[in-house]
Amino acid sequence: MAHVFTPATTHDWRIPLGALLLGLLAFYLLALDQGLLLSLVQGNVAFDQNLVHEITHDARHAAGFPCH
Amino acid sequence: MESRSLGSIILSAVIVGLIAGLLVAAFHFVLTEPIIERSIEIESSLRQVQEATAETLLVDRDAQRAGLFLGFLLYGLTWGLLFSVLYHIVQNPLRDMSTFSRSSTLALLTGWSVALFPFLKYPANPPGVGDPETIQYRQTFYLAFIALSVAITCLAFVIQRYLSRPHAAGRSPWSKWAIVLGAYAVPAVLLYIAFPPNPDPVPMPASLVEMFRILSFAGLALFWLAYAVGFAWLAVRAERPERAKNVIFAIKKA
Repeated sequence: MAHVFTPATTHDWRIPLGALLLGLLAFYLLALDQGLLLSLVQGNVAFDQNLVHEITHDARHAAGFPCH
Repeated sequence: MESRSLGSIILSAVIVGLIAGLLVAAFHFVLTEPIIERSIEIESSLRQVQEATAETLLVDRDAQRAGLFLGFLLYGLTWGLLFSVLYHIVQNPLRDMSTFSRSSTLALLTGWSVALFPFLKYPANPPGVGDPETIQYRQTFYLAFIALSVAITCLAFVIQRYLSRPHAAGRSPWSKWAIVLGAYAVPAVLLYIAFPPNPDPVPMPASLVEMFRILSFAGLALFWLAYAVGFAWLAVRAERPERAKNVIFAIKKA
């Protein structure tokens, strides 16, 4: 039987995709950001202040993510 | 068995992830924070000798200690979301497994692949270790290691599933597990050897670094154990009302 795409099945890929992207964003904030995200609003000063990195600092170290 | 909706999976995975994250943050707050404080003291005394520059901190230590909780909530949110997508994808192919063993096995394998095995290659370091110049290099290899670590676990898992199908019934369980273990161990050892080590010097006292690493590893193990148990427990529970409804439906029909 052929599958007919209904609104319900189109939602099927949106939710996992949304969960995937949100999960990757949370991972990025926790583990990777070195100022890039806030540089979008703060400009270059964000790389010096590195606020996201500083706030997640202790968790980055404790969870074993690369940190300086 | 009816497959669970993704919404229900995400909800329980995120809740369990956040609770496990809080648990580990509390663990580190009590046990690891004193070591972090000590490392920062040593680091700043070393730096004063070297540079004699007073660094003004935008985020003070109190905020960073609070950030420990924020960070581990993000950790729980991350793996809650990513794991729920994985579980959603594989719950039908793995429907012959019991709910408990499917959910707990997947969670433990995920924890091993994304956290514990990468830790063995790139163990955690306390503050004071880590050259800002090499951060991008270290992040790149750390991420690539996680990605390949997940890939080889998937491969071994697929082989295990393939061997448990009826056509492989002639093989002894021992030979099957030997194949699966070999299919994991060989690429795992190759991966471990092939990746370059962390290039940074470790100027901190060895006993302090060792203690930090033990606590860090324990924290990761605690997170994934709590996560696996919590998620499996909710997964088993989630099927109960469904079953109860079916029973009521059957009674009404009769």
